Amino acid sequence: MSDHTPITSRPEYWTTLSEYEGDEEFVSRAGEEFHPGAKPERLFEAEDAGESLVDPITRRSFLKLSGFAALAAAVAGCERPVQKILPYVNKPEEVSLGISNHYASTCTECPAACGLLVTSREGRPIKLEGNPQHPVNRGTLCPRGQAGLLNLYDPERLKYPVRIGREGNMEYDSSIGFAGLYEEIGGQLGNGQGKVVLLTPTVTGPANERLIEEFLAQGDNFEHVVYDPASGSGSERRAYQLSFGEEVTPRYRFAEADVVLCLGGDPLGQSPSRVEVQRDFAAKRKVREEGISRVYAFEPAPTMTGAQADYRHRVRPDGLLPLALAFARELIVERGLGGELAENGQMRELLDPWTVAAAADRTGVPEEEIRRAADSLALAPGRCIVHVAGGASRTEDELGLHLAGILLNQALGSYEQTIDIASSPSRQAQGSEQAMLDLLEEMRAGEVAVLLMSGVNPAYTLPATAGVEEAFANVPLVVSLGLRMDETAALADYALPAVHGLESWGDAEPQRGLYSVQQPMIRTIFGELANDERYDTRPWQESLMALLTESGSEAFLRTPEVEEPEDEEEEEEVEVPEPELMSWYDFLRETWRERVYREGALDAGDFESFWTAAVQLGAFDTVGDEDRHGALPQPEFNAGALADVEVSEAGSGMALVLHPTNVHGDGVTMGNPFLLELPDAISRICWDNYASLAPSTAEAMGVREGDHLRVSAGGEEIEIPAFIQPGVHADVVAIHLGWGRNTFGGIGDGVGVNAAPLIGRGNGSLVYSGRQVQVERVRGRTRLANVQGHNYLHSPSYAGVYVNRRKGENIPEEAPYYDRPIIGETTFEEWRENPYHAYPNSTPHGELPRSIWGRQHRYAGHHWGLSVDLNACNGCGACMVACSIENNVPVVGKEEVLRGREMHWMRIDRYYRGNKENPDIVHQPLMCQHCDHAPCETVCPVIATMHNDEGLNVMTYNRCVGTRYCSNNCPYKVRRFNFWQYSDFRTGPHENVRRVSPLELVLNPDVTTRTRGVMEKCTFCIQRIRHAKDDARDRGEPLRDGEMVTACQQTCPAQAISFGDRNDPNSEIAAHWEDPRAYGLLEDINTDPSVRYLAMVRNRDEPVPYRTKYQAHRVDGYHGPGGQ
Amino acid sequence: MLQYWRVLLLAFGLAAVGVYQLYGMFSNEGYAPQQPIPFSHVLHAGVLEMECLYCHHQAEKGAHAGIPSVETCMGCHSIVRQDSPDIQRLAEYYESGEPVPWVRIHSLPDHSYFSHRWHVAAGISCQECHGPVQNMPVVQQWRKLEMASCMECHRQDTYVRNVNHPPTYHEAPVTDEERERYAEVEPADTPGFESVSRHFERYYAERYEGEDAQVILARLKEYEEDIYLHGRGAQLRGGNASVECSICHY
Repeated sequence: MSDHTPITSRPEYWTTLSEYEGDEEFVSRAGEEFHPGAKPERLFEAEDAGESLVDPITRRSFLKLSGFAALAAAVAGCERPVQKILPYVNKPEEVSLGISNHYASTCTECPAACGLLVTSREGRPIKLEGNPQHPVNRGTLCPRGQAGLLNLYDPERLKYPVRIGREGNMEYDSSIGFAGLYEEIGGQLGNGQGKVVLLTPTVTGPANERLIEEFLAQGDNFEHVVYDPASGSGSERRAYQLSFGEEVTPRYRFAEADVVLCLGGDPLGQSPSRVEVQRDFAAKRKVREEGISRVYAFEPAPTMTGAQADYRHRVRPDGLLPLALAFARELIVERGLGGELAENGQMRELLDPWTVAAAADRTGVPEEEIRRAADSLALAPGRCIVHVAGGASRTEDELGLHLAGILLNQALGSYEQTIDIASSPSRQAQGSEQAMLDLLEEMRAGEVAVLLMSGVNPAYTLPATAGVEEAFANVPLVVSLGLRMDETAALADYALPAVHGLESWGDAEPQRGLYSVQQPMIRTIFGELANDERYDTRPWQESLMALLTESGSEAFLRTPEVEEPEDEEEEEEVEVPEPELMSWYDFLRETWRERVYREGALDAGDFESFWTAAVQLGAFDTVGDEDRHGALPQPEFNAGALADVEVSEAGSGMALVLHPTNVHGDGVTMGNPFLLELPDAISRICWDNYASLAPSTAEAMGVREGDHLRVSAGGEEIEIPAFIQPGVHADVVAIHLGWGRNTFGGIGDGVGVNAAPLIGRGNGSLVYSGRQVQVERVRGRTRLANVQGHNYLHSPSYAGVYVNRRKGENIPEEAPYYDRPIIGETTFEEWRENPYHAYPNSTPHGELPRSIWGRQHRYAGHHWGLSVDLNACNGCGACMVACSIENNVPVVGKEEVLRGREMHWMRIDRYYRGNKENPDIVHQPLMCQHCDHAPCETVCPVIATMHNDEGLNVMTYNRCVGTRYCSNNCPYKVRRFNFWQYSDFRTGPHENVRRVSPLELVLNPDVTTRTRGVMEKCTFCIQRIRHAKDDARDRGEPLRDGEMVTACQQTCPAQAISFGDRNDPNSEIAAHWEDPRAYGLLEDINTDPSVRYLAMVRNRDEPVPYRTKYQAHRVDGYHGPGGQ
Repeated sequence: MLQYWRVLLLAFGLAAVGVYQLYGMFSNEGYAPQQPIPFSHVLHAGVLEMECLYCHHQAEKGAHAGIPSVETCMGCHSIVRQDSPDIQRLAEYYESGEPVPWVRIHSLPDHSYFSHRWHVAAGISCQECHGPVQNMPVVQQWRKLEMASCMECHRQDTYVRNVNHPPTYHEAPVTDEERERYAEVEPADTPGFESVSRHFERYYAERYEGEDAQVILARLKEYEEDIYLHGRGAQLRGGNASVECSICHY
């Protein structure tokens, strides 16, 4: 066969703009394994020394030192250090050395309240996984949940109660303990002067809510304010209040939705219940004969949902409401959906001007594209979701947009079909920005006497115009009950440190009627057992109870039960004891006994066994139980709510979009190095936020990546590096929220730029999107740590040809270079016609390169394989964090990432395709491919990497001498070299923040912590394989399919990853191997990888034109050669 | 010039001897530290013939054999030999809630994972690695416990293959196709594999009827050969194909 792919003028799939443009610097670097400056010889160069740990070492001093080291080693070697073994005095029955226990709990990293299954080793949690029995997340977890484990052991937590000076002197007086502070503060709560306000993010759960009820019951001046910046402004709830008379947070069930229309909404990245949404969304994207969902996204800047969309259009933020109204007009008025809705006169008046043509005119989206989306929606009433909640939709018109979204959903019959507002609405986002602003107003006016706050940071998340500092200065007593010192705690008088969710009891109610239990996994780390006697941390609920009791409340006082005297003689001595302050745990149980327990619940005979069962399961689900919650309310839609909707004038100039990402939002993640080094889902940049500009805009402004921009609006300005992001609307500058914190000397200090100053004040609420800003280039440039610029999979020779051709050199068509087939992609219709259509592989010479192995290896026992469904993957990064925690993968810091030395065993490559202004986006998770013909194995001079008889490509760290030949020879660039002793650092050698106690507790004892000079890579979680096989052998039966689960597979919210034994014909993985969509990455170079990708299938009307040139051909005996 | 080489050679030889000597120093064979309580394995394991697993019961379940909790000792010693001063000290530890600070004797080199569970399951006696503990008044390290100690057994024909492999392969029923295939083709004898296969000869002869045992053996032989031929790594593993690095190092 000779139909090799002709060289195209541009790469089909590209990773960065410089690749797209054929930037010469990029091309010259493409063939190199690391960025310039990452080569080892540079380590000893003097110019490096200034910024790094090593002093310049001359050859002479090196010899001297090594001589000394040898002598020291010889002397030390003579004496063996005496190690002690300290056994338990009383061994807990359930603890066995080296064997993990698993406990159910609830994640407290955000109010979504996913179920956890905590892996605990000798009493310390070492891994968090989703609880498969928990209805919210059903076994999976997001990156924040995974990384939450690190927050438990975080040495930057506040460790003891402090009194903070008001005069900005920030002296922390730690001389008094909790008891003293309770007395001191509690006395001031009850004096009845001024308001006493409790400020929290969304807090749910029977006990938590009862605690707040008790708080409010203290008097009329007690108030509870919920402020939850990461999960929206509360406008959505207000819109539901106006439309249905009830303030609810809708629960979206994407698993039921065939057509999804996002107008500035980002359910995958910014929904309050992301894990649930991502899983349901992906379930509808998995390719099956009946069809897959169709997703439309209209948004100013690319989001995770936009990347998954079949049709993505760029609009200015102020164009979202006109679009929504145009959809409403088209569907309701023109096509008569929604029955009598069309007869509402007020609404007609509102909708009439917004014809499709008018909206197209206003937004620049072609008319036929709007009609196409309307067509799809009209075809699937009752199976649609219109989603408008996201950072981009928080414009001045936000309320109107939500009302229009509700109208559309109502007309399409979504309620109780795809969106729950009556049966089991979400309770995960109850915050109200308005309430927060009102509170600040009251504080400024001196109406608030006491402010207690926990888990919120308004001094960081609100703009200066909100006047937080001034407001706090006017409150006589401010108490922070948070986990850490933060900007707002610094404005307080006292900080009573709370404990992490893994250290305390608690509960949550993520959906109405779903009760989730949180149980402690470990004694408080900064508590009485710590080596510093000042250390004391307590659950914020316990502190609140103690404070209220000190102020005179009797709600938490219980008379201890008198034990029956054993001896007759002691009887007389028994007195009626004084009532005591009950513990938070007792309060929790009492609440559950009174409010949750019903006879027969969970098949329990009494409360004790019910409680045990609930704790063991992690959740008690009463959703849909009519006895308990009464009949379903029938919300009445009030079309009159739309009467006040006004469409603001079309904006001009640059529009600002501030939005949270799926990881960062309200800034709490800034203390977590795993999350700081987790690249963004779209830009793949870590350790920074940036102002995203469209390529055309950047070109017009003469801005390069990293150039500093001054973004100013209304007198406020920030200076932030620019990033040129394909997919951003030409008039939009988009910035991620949650960066630029002051964490008081912590690792997150000054990482990124805080964009909150640019938040505007609209009529009432805050404006995050659509604000007109001035953008100008200023002096300065920052290098952005983009992981997508290196680990280049295209062949460098290809790149060379490409450049030469651009230079006008005459490269013949039949040059032996070709675009490497990396992404398989097709459309649904084409897939249905020919399931092999997406198969991306083509070989230049019509046959595979010859293998140097004599014959195919036979894998007689297990033959492990992994598959990734590209259609399901949304790039969230949970797998990367899960992998890092499972395998003790270190964080390397920004400087090292810039040199291309990030250590992630698993990465997610993001490819663009097509037009650079609005490309398609594909995510491709990439881990070691465990090639059966592994190029790395053959070049290792010391046989540190080799093949085992189950198809794994294994690393023997203690044999590795660090030649890096293997990495050089790896076509996938998945091998990672430990240039420094990365595990010694929290954030990398250049930042020089050492790993300190108790961070060592987070390490997985089943996996070697690698040292400097050693190559490492994905092992397919060999330690988990070992455990699974041991368990199977002890049972005396073969390993079942699905028993062995890798860390990445386990946590993937989209369930995109499968793992199993290819030799088991009934396994899921064997089926994936046979799937026509499955292809091996770079199969054409005959590495025979053990990873298969299931090609991306977009649900588009028009065929994919580019695919035709591949002709979907296969080389005989080529696909899946391992099976013969 | 010749002189130069002689000096170099001499220096190299000296260095080699030095390294060898140093190497010896690092070995812990024979290490027998004084323990805080003179616990006698001679009495418990030797005279009283208590099962090793009675105290070190975790060896059956997990990677670590573990040191018994003080509570385990007190299980008997709250009654037995209360008059002994050593037992009284033990009781003091127990009552004060302090663990007994035993001195660690056995420790494996870094980067290696060893599981007691596999070895107990395979029926290897504790004495195989720990020596005649029942005769040791003071426990000492009996073997070097370095890679060579593992390989000493794992190179022999007995202690291989039955440890870490799923029953799926060996126990899989013999198919007609296989019978046909192996009836005609005699798998080539590859040097280095006789030993492994020979080990299984008896095992399969006991379990399968005549011809099928032969087929399974042939199958196994071919399998071994596969591993043997697969990559340079396997070639350097010596004759033992089933012990590959990743079993202990990961």
